[in-house]
Order: sequence, then C-alpha cells, then structure tokens
Amino acid sequence: MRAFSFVHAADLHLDAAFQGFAGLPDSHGHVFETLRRATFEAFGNLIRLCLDERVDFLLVAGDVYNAADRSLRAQLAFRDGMRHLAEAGIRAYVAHGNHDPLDSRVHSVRLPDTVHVFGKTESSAVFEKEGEPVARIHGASFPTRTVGKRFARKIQREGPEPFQIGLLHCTVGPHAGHEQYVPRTLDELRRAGLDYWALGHVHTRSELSERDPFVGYPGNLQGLHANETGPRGCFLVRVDEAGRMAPPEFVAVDAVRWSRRTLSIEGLPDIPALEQALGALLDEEARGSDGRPVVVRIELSGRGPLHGELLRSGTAAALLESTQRAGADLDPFVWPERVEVRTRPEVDLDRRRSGDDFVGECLRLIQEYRGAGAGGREPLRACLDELFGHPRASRFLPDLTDDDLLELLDEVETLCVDRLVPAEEG
Amino acid sequence: MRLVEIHVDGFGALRDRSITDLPPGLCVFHGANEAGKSTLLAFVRRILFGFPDRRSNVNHYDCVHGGKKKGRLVFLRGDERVVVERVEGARGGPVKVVFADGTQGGEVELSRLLGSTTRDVYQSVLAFSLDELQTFETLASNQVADALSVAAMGENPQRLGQVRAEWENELRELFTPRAHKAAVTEGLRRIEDLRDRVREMERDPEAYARLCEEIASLEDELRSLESERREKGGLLVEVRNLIHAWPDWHARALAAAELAELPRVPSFPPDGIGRLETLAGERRTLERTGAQLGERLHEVRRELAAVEWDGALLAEARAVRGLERGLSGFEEAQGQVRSLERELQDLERRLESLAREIGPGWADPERLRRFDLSSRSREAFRELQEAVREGRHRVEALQREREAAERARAEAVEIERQRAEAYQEIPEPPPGLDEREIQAHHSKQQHFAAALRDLPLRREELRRERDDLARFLQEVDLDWPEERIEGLTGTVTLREGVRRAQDRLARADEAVTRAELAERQARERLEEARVKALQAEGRLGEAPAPPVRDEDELRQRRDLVRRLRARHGAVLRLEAEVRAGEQRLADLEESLSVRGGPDSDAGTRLPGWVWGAAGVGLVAVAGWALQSGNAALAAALAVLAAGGAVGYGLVRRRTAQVAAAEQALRRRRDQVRAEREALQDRLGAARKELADLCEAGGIPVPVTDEVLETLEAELDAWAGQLRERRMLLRAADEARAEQAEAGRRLEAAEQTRAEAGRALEAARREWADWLGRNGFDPSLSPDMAVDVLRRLEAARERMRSIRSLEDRIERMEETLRADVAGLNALLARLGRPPVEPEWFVETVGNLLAEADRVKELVRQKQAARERAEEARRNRERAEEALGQADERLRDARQALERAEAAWAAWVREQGLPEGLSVDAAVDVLRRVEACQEILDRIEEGRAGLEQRKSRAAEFLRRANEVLAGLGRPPCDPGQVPGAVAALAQDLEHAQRAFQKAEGLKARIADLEGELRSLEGPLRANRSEIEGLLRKAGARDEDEFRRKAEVFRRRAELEREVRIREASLANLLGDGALEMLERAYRERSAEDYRQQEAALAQELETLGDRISELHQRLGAKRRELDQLEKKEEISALRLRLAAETGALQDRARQWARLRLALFVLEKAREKYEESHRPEVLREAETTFARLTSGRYVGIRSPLGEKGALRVVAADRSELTPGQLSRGTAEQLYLSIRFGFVRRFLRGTEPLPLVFDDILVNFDPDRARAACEAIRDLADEAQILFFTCHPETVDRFRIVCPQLEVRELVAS
Repeated sequence: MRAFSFVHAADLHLDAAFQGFAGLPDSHGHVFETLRRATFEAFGNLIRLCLDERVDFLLVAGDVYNAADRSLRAQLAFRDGMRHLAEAGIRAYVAHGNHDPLDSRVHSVRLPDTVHVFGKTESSAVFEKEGEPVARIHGASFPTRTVGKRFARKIQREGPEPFQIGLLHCTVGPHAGHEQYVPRTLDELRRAGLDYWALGHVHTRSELSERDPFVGYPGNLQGLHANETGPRGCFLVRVDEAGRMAPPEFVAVDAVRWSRRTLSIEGLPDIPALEQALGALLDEEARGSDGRPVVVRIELSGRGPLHGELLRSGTAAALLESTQRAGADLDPFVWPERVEVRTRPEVDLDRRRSGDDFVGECLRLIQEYRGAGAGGREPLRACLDELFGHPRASRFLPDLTDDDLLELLDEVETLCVDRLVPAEEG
Repeated sequence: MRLVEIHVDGFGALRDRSITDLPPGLCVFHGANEAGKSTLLAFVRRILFGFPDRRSNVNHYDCVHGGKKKGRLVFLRGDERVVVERVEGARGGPVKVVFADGTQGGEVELSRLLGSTTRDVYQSVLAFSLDELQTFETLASNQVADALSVAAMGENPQRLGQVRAEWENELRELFTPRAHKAAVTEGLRRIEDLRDRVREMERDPEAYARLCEEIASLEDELRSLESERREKGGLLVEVRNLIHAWPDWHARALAAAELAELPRVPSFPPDGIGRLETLAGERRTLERTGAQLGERLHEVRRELAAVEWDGALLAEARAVRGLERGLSGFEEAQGQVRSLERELQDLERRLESLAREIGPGWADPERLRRFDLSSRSREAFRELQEAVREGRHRVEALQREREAAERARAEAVEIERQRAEAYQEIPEPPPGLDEREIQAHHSKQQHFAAALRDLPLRREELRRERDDLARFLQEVDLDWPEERIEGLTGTVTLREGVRRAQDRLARADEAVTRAELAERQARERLEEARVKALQAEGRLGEAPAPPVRDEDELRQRRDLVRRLRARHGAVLRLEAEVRAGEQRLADLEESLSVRGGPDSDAGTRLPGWVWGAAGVGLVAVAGWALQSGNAALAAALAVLAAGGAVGYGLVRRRTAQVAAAEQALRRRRDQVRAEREALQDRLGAARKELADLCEAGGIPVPVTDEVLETLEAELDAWAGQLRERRMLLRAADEARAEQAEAGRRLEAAEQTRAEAGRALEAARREWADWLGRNGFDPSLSPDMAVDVLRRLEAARERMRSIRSLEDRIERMEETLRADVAGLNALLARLGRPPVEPEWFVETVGNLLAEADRVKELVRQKQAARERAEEARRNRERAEEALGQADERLRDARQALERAEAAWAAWVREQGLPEGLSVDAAVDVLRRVEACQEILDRIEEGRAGLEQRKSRAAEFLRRANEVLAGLGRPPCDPGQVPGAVAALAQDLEHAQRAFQKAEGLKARIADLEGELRSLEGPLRANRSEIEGLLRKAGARDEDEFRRKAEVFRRRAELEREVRIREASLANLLGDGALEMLERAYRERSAEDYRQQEAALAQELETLGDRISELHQRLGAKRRELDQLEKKEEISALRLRLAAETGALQDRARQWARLRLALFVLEKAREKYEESHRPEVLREAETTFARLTSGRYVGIRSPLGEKGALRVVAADRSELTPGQLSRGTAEQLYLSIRFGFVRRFLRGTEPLPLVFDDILVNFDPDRARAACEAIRDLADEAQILFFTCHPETVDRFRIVCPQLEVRELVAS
C-alpha cells in the first residue's frame, strides 16, 4: 500500500468566546482583537499544519461550531479552511458532535465536495491515494444534541482497506467536567477491530490506548477558559507502506495559551514589592508560552502583611489594572484576566475563636455553620436568595452549591477577622 | 486626654475668645443667657468632628461679626500638648493637628486622637445639652447603639459600626433589588443589551442560507431570460435591416426613374446660378438706389420751394427774448401789490382792537410807542412783583412756626416737673465699698483659683518636659551642644538655603537630562537629514536629463515652434489665395476665349471692305437681273442688300459694345494676373522663411500640422522634465541645508550638555560648601539636611517650651502671693479681718455681691439726675425758640409793607390805573407789547408796496416800445402777457423756417453727387451678366435658369442612386439588391414595421425583467458579502462573556458581604444577650443614687430591642413614659453615665461637656446628680455649663475645691 498521513483534530468550537473574564482589555485593542480571533487563528494554524505537512486528509471529531452561538462567521471560516485544503488536494472527514448536531441550523454554508460529512447513522468512506484504497473511515454525526444508547454502536471493521479509522464524538470512561455523551468503554472500541479511534468531546488531550487500536482525544484546538490551560492542538499521524502507524505526534496550534499561577504574599512588605513579583511572573509566562500570547489567572495566597491591604476596597482592582497594563505591553502579551485574593490574615484563628469577645463570637458562629451540614446552612442560602433568586440576575449566575457556601464562609471568616481585629493585634 | 485651652477665632457671637488653663476633673462655667455656653458646647463638638454641611437643618452658628468659623482646642495627652485647629470649609472643614514635636497632621491624626469616639457617640453620650438629654432617641441611632452596646462588649465600638456601615454601603453599591444604579443591576442591563444584540446577529446563518437560495433561483431565471433575449434580438436585427433598407431601396428606384426622363445638359458654368443671382442682385440694387436718389432729390427741391419766414421779426429777436424773460417778474410784482394791500388792512384792524382792551386813550400809536418795555423796565417789574409775593408767603409760614414753638414750650415744662419728682423719690446710696477695687480682685479670682490648682501640675509637667528633652537629644544624635541648639537662629534661612540647594541640584540634574535628550534627538535628526540628503541626491542622479539645458533654451525652442506654426499658417493661407486667384484667372480667360471663339458672331469680325464688295456684288447682280428682266430676283437681291446694309449697321454697333466689355474683361484679367504673381512672390518668400526656420531649428521638412503637434508635445514633455529636475534639485538643496542645520544643532546640543554637566558639578560643590559653612556634615544630601534641620528645630522648640513653662510657674507663684496681699489690704481698709489664700475666692465673691448692690443704687440715682437735668435743658431750649419765632414774624411783616409801597409807586409812574394788582399788571404789559409789534409790521408793509408798483410800470413801458418798432398796436398792463407771448411765438416760427431752408439746399447738393457715382458700376455689371449667359449657351436669364435646374437635378439624381446603392450594400452586403427584391415582393414595409414593433416590445419587457433581476441579484450578493464580512458578533460575544464573568464576580462579592453582615448581626444578637446587663447595672446604680433609692433597677426585656423598664423600690415596673419629666431625665442621664463608664473603659477619655442638664431636677436629686458628676470627673474631665447660680452653689457644696468660671457676654 501507499504511505499516507493525516491530522486528527476535534472540538474546534469556532468563534466561541473566552469565558470567565472579569473585565475586557478595551484599552488594549491588540489584546482584545487577539482574544476575539483566537479560535479562528488556531483553526488557521491547523489548516497551515495540514498544508505544510502535505497530509492526505483531515479528521474532525465533532464540535466544529457551537451551534448555540449560531455564528455565521464560524461556518464561513470553516468553509474557507476546507477550500484551502481542497485546493491542495487534501480531503476532510467530519463527524458532528453534541455542539453542532446535524439538526442544528449551523449548516447553512455549503462545503467543498472534498469534505465528507458523516450522516446520523454509521457509515464509512474510503480514502484512495493515487487510485489505491488505503484507508476506510467509519463515523457518524450527532443527529440531535442528545442521542440514544444505540448511536454509532455498529461501527466494525469492514472492507479490504488495510488501515481503518473510527471517527466519533463520544465519552470513553469518566471525564470530569464533560457531559457523558455516547458513553463507550475502551473494550467496546477495541472489539470494533479498527486501527485508530479518532475521538472528540473531551477538551483535554489524552491517549486512552497507544496501539491496537490507538484511542485518543487530541483535545480542543484553543483553550477557552482558565481551566483549559497548557498547549492545545491536534494529532499528526503517519502510516507507512506496510500499514504501520508511527506514534501520533501532538502538535500545538492554539493561538492564545491559558495559564494559572499562584503567588504567595509571604515576605512581600508592600504593594510595589507585590507588583514587582507579579511582573516577574508575567515575564516568566511570556518566556514559557512558545511565543504565544498568554491569558493567566493569578491567585494570591499565603499570609503576610499585605493581606489587609489587599482586602481593602479597590486595592485588588487597582492591582489587576496595573498588572494588566504591564502584561499588555509585553511581546507576546500576557494578559492577567483576574487576580484572585486568597490570602489569609496573620491571626491565630483558633485562639481568637476561643476568646470571649465579639470576634470570638463571630468566629464561633461561622464554625457552627461550617459544621451544621447542608440543612443547617439553609439560613445562609436564604439570605443570598435576594440576588441569586432574583428573576433577572439568576439567569446569568451559577447555582450556589454547598461547596460554594463553604468557600464563602471561609471568605467571610477572613473578612471578619481582617476588619474586626485591630491591626496592631493582627 | 484633657482639654486645657479653648480659643474661638470666630463662631456664632463669639470672637477672639479664649478660655485657658482648664483644670482636670470638673469645671463649672456660669454665665447668664447669651453668655455663649451653648455656643461653646457646639464649638467643641465642631472643632473635633467638623462643621456640618450647609444643607443640614441645624444651627450653623454663623459668625455674627463676619468671617469664617475657626478656632482651636488644646489638649494634654499624657504630657504631650496637642493642638486641634479647624476652619470652616468643605467636608467639615480642614483640620490641623499640631503635636508637641512640631509635626502636623490632618483628619487621620485627629481620628487616631479621638480613638473610638465618633461624632454621634460624642454628641449623644459625652457632650450634650438639656434638649438632647430629654430626647432619648439620640441614643437609639444605629451607630450610637452599636457603639454603646459594643463598648459594653469590650470591643472597639467605632470599628464595628464602621465595618457594618462600610459593608452595607458596599452591599448597596453592588446590589439592592430597587437600586437602578447598583453595579449588579447595571451589569445586568449591559448583559441583556449585549445578549439582545447577539441574538439579533444569531439570525445571520438563516439569513445567509436564505440568501444563497434566493441568489441561485435568481441566477437560473436570469440565464433563461438572457437566452430568450438573444434569440429575439437576432430576429429583430434582420427585420430592422429590411426596414432600414426600405427608404434607400425606395428612393433609389424613384431617382432612377426620374433620371431616365430628364434631358442631357453637356456643360454648365460652375455655380452659374449663384453667380448670375449675385450679379443680378447687384444690378437691381444699383438701379433701385439710383431711382430712390432721384425721387429723394425731387422731393427736397419741392420742399425748399415751400419754405417762408419773417425777416423783420428776426432782426428784433433780442428785444423780444428780453420781454419774454421779464414777463414773470412783472406778473409777480402785480400779485404782491394786491396781497400787501390786504395784509395792511388786517394789521390796522388788530391794532385797534388790542388798544381798546388796554383802556381808553390807548388807541393812539404815539402813546403806545412811548410805553417803556425795555429789559430794565421789565426786570424792575419782576422784582417788585416777587418782593410782594414772597413777603406774603413768609409772613404766613412764620405765623405757623410760632404756634408750634408755643406748644413745645408747654410740653417741656410738664416733663421737667415730672422728672424732678422722680429724682426726689430715689434714696441716696450709703457710702462705703470701692466697687472697682473689688472688681479688680474678682477678675483675678479665676486665675487665682486655676493657678492654685494648676501649680503642682505645671511643676510635674516641667519635670516631664525636661526628661523628654534629654531623651530626644539622645535620639537626634547630633554633636551640637544644647546652648548651640537653643541659640539656633535663622532656621528659615537655613531651610531656604536647603530648599534652594535642592532646587538648584534638581534643576541642574534636570538640565543635564534634558541636554542629553536634546543631544540624542539632535544626533537622530542629523542622521535622518543625512539619509534624506543621500536619498535626494540619489533621486536627482536617477532622474533623466532633459534635452534642453534650461528654461531659456526651452523658451527659445517654443518661440521657434510658435513662429514655425505662424509661418506654416501663412504659407497655407497664401497657397489658398494663389489657388483662388488662378481659378478666377481661368474664369476670366475662359470668358475672353468665349468672346473670341466660334460662338461669337463671325460677321462682326469681317473687315468692312468684304461687306462693301458683297454689297456692290449684290447691287451688280441685282442690276443684271433687272436688266435681264428678272425683276423678282432683282427685288430679292435689293431687299437682301438693304437687309445686309441694315444688318451691317446693327453688327457694327454690337461689335463696339462687345469690344468695350472685352476690354474691361482683359483689364480685370491683367489685374488678377498681377495679383496672382504678387501672391506667388509672397508665397515664395514665406516658404523660404519657413525653410530657414526649419534649418535653424534642425526640424525636418516639409512642415505639417502633425510635425508641429509632435514638436509641441515634445516641448511639453521637456518642460515637465525640467520642472521635475528643478524640484529634485531644490529637494537636494533643502536636504543638504537641513543636514547642515542638524549638524549645527548637534554641536549646540553637545555644548549645552557639557555646560549642564559643569553646572551640576558646580551646584554639588556649592552645596558641600554650604553644609561646611553651616556646621553640617558635607556628605549630607539636601533631603537628609531637611530632616536634621527639622529635628534641630523640634529640639529648640522643646527647650523654649521648657523655658516658657519655668517662667510661667514663677509668674503663677508671684501672682498668688500678690493677689492675697491685695485682698487683705482692702479688707483692712473696710475694717474686716484678713483671709487665707483658700478663702480668697469666696471673700471676693461676697464683696463683689455687696458692691454690686451699692453700684446699682448709685447707677439709678445718677440716671434720674441726668434725666431731670436733661428735661430742664429741654424746657429752656423751647422758650428760647418761641422768642426767636416772634422776632422773625415781626421782621417779615415790615418787609411786606415796604414791597407793597414800591409797587404802588411803579404803577403810578407807568400811567396805569391806581390799585392795579401785580397779577393784573402782567396782562397789561403783554398787550402793550403786542400793539408795538403790530405797528412795526404796518410800516414795513407800506414800504414794500411802493417798491413793487414802480417795477411793474417800467416793464410796461419797454413792451410798448418793441410793439411800436414792429408796427403792432400798444397794450395796457392787463394785455401785456398776451402781447409778449404772441411776439415770442412768431419769433420761434421764423427762426425754425430759416434753418430748414438752409438744410434743404445742402441735401440737394449731396443727392446729385451720389447719383453721378452710380453710373460706372451699373455698366460693368451688365457686361458681366452677358458673359455668363453666353457661357451657358442661354439666350436670356430665364433660359439660363432652366438649364441650370436640369443640370443640377440630373447630378442630384445620379448621386442619389449611387448613395442609396452604397448604403444598401453597406447594410446588407453583396447581393443586397436581389435580396431586397425578393423580400419586398413577399411582404410590405409596413408588415415589417409591425413585426419590428412587436419584437421590440417583447425585448424591452425582457430587458426590464433582466435588469430588475440583475439589481436584485446585486443587492442579494452585497447583502451576502456583508454577512460574510460581519465580525461584530465575535466581539459582542466576548464582551458578553466578560460582562457575565464580571457579574458573577460582583455577585460573589455581594454574597460574601451579605453573609458577613448576616454573621455579624447574629453574633451581635448573641453577644448583646449575654453582655448588655453590665451597662444596665452601671446605669441602675446611678439611677438609684439620683432617686435616693426610690427606683432600684433598670431592665431591658429580651426580644424588645431598645425597650426599658424601671423597677421601683416596691418592685413594681414602669415604662419611661410613665415617669415624670424630671425622673425620665434622671433615667436617661443614668443610662448615659452607665454607657460612659463602659465606653471609657479601655479608650482614651475625651472631655465631657454638659449644658445645663439639671434644670428639671428637684434640689435633692440635683445635689445627688452633682455628686454623681463629681465622681464621674475622677474618670474624665467634665465641663459643666449653667446659667443658674444655685446649680453652681450645689456643685460648690459637694465639691469645695470646684473651679467655677464666669462667662460674660461679649
């Protein structure tokens, strides 16, 4: 057979917006523009990779778009990318996932004929290289956002093609943070007798089986929030004349990289020192991002003299602003999307809790609520209902979990100690 | 913290008021109403906590004397003296806190100083008035309640209140359900707005798909319609070709048919008809002009014969014109005579009437003239009149004045009597005490008491100050001895020196930085200029060199081409003229040849002898025939001979005429030929000149318009190249200049930088010198020097403070001794025993009270005496005024009598009636004046009348003289205008007739000359017409015209046939005639037109539809394109995500604060429940003491926040509302005392200020309250204001050492 190569990508989520920002870099146009275009840039990098590596085809395992976003721009960008591939003679095989199922109205743009879109039931397509069939790709697209248990269960090796691939948007094994769509087990996939399972849906890259068959998620092309840190990209796969597959190579194509960092305030005497430490952190991020812009979430932790200052109204916001200004001027820029203050006061809480004074009373009360169980914390939940149960606001606010309440209690404890205990004592 | 001094610069009615040396513990201020007690309370509060906002509804205590509210309080904190100053201003007014070491601070330092005490706490609990005591609600405000309750809890009360207020504020700013401007609500609004916009854009994919479908459908339809249009268009073209061919086809057929019928005309002179018409027209014009001139001549002669005029009248023309001009003057004089006569009659009548009004005998003009109306006489009259009137008015006014003076005297007498009685009623004061001396002791009383109490404190203070100074000097670590520090002078100068050095160094440093920057910029500019110069020179080198050197050469070249064009034009014009001359010459030659050719009459050319021989022959033959009897032949021959003779005569005449015309033609030919040769010579010269120019300019010959245009285009291009080169040269020059300038600037910048460096070094050296000179370490920086100076000043201030304290203690001791000695001396004089220093105050108080009573009696007696004296003086003044009034009245009456006598004398003198009043005399004078004016006007009118009558008589005489000279009858004055007008009219007529006859004679001479000049041209014209007719072989002009018409028509038709055939071939190609033959055999032209119209209609409809489809398609494609380019949704979605993130952050922040407040409230409830009774216990102890055990407890029922119950000795419970007013006040005071005790525990005590709070207490309870206050004074300084002496006495009883100060209204 003839040797061939292909790229396996998934979860493009074209034109999906970055989530979780506490503010926008309106005053730094280049930052805003880069973030806005990040998913398109990452997709452009994917297409360039295909062209540069002269691969034979591209596999896309679902979630090309966010159907809920209904972005025409995303469809046009995908069409343009496919056109570029078509012009270079590269075919594409696409299986849609739960975010862009076939019944969604995102398919209003006509794709080139070199793109094969799998239908709602299992089917396969044969890839021929110079007239010789070398690979068979099996796959199915989500007909709707949710599918039944029988969806795409019949994919099995068939035909004489030496290399057979399964292209599917599904969940294999447990994955935190992802809905369990088309739950499959690794054994089920192995039983299908294929050589490569090109999966999508899980945004974090993972290789579930290295060989016989290879089963893996390349992850999404572009991290979209603070929990999607690190390089994001696709697998580049090469198969030789004997039908042997080299270990898939992960290639990062993300346009902007997300990062989370923690900085302790211990030993930092004042705000300028903290700003200096933050500046060093930003420099470090800029150096370690392979030349990409970085969006970083910074958590300030530890105990130190700055704790009280940081809790003062406006300090954290001013710090964020100055850090953002410094980061925006770096090349590539490092944009601190938020600075979370999780520092602790320099107070012996246990001692204060046992005191007979008002602070002790407060701390004991907080401790009681901590240990009261979810039911005992209902009064707390009730007093927050004014906002979190507000008909307009609640649409945009996450539900308050019991863990959230416990976290809030920690913050309240810090707040009370910070404000009620005199500074000299603290 | 203890208040030691209050200084009011301005506040309410207080101004520049100081209260100094306030003692620790209790101090009672006694003062009457308006002495400033409440003002002082408010002053203390506002200096500490700020002046209230102008909008607040409180007494602002605006300065009565104007200016800003301002003042200071001086505290002792431990041993440290702290001054708090505040001036009225925004946000409570700026405050300054000055510490003992000279450092200063503002609100922050004041806040530290005040510790946990907030404004509300101070006002409600620590410093309050009776009103505020009565209002328990002042204790119920959240902040106070928090502060008080938590004070009892042992925490910092301010902190809890502040924390809760801050959190509540932050919470409100973040979110409340009804706050539209809260951050969360605004964020929600932005999110919803963004979401709406995003949703709107989310419809784009559907719109895109719909557009794609619509575009495809439109394209299909368009393709189908365009195919149909192509097909029908082809058919239409064919039909239109047939229709278009029809006129040619039809016209060709008609022309061919007509041509076949027309006769042939072999030749015809070119433009024969035109030339004939021109000549005939010229002839007609000449003939018509001749006829018109003849007619006009005849008419003019006839007109001349009819003209006549009067010679005699013309001779008298000047005299007649003179009369005509003078006539209007004559008529005017006549009219004026009549009007003057009427006017004189009127004036005489008016005079008579006025004279009668004055009185009998006044009609005599002489009497009227004699009456004196000069200005002096008038002035005398006015003075007399005014004297009489004023005298009368004055007498009346003085009479009224006298009556008033009479009444005033009576009143003054009565008052004098009453006040004398009142003075007698007041008893005489007893002799004795010297009040001023006692007052002097009293004024020392306060100082004495304060000094007595303050002296030990001052001594202690002095010891501490000394210890402090020693420690401070150790800290400062300066080598300077104490004497030198104390003697440190000129710190301002030193500071100024440091500041100047700082400035100088900073300026020098900045100058160096600036100079370095300027040098760097200059270097960069030089580099830029160098690059620009190189680029400019490069561009210059690359630019093509133009073929001409400069503008002058280009201008010369342009001149050459311009001259070439002019010469070329001249050559062309001359060539055309030569050609025209040759054509005309050819015509003339042709005319001459026609005359000499075969068509001419041959007979005319035979010599005369031929004709004679032929005649003789004929006569011989005829004679032979007659002889031979052939009479008929002879007759015929005779007739022939006779005819020949006649014909010969005719021919001779004709020949002469032809010869003359031929001669004229030959002359014209010669003339034309000469002209042609002259033109050819000029043409040759012009061509040579052209060739010379071409040779000079190197221009190829022959010269044509194309060559000239090419040359001009070349010149334009060269001009462009020249311009471009010039610009490049200029740019290069500018760049070089710029480079040179940048070089110069760089040199200057380098120099400046070097100078700045030198200046910096100099400044540093100077600073080191200054430090050395002033005894400082030369290595100090200016900032360090400032610090050292500040420390030195602080040390010096402390030393001064110690010296001042020592002086003060010494003065206090001396004052105490002197005061006691002075008082004992006074007592000795009064015969009373001496007192010890501790009884000084009381003794002075008793003496003062005694002196006050005596003083009051003296004051009353003195006042009564002064009032009686004043009444006596008033009575004397009234009597004096009455006498003066009498005297003035008498004088006035005498003056009036004198004035009336003078008036009577004047009346008599003027001859006026006796007894005439001053008012009636005014009318008489006015009438006499009018009469005199009328007399003047009558005399003037009579003189004018005479003058006009003589002027009219003179004119009449002159008129009659002229009439007599012309033989006309004389006239009387009434006929004069008619006679003069008739003469003028006749003269005008005679002058016009004479002028007309002269004009007609000149016209006749002109017309005769014109007639003679027409004859020559007429003859030449006739000869030329005849030549033209001969050329066409026409006998007359009509035949000439017919032949011309046939010749023209044939040519037209032949041309028509050719054109039509060419047109058809062009339209339809070869074989068009055959094809048309077939086509028009099958269908008519009308059929084809109908078919064309139908096809055109169909095509138009198709075109419209296609056009519409194109438009719709274009619009759809544009819409599609816009949709494809739309990127806004990405930005909006990113913004939406960011806004949502921000909202969630704010919600989390809100939740944290909300929970924190929840926890705080719950903790507070629990804490109050367990700790509050402590406050109440404190309160109930005081309450029981105030009520002498009538009430034994105070209870705060659980669950009833803020509610109180009072427990009586019999254990019954009452609410505060059930208590009497005084008892309720005692309850509230007890609670305040409870709070105060708890509040003061662990916090820096501020002075307590109470303003007359014991007014409603009965004597026992008031005494108990005084004791409670005295006891409280052990814990804090208390200032107690009262206006009741008994309250002071009560305090004195319970606290013998009490310091009482008097407040006196300013």
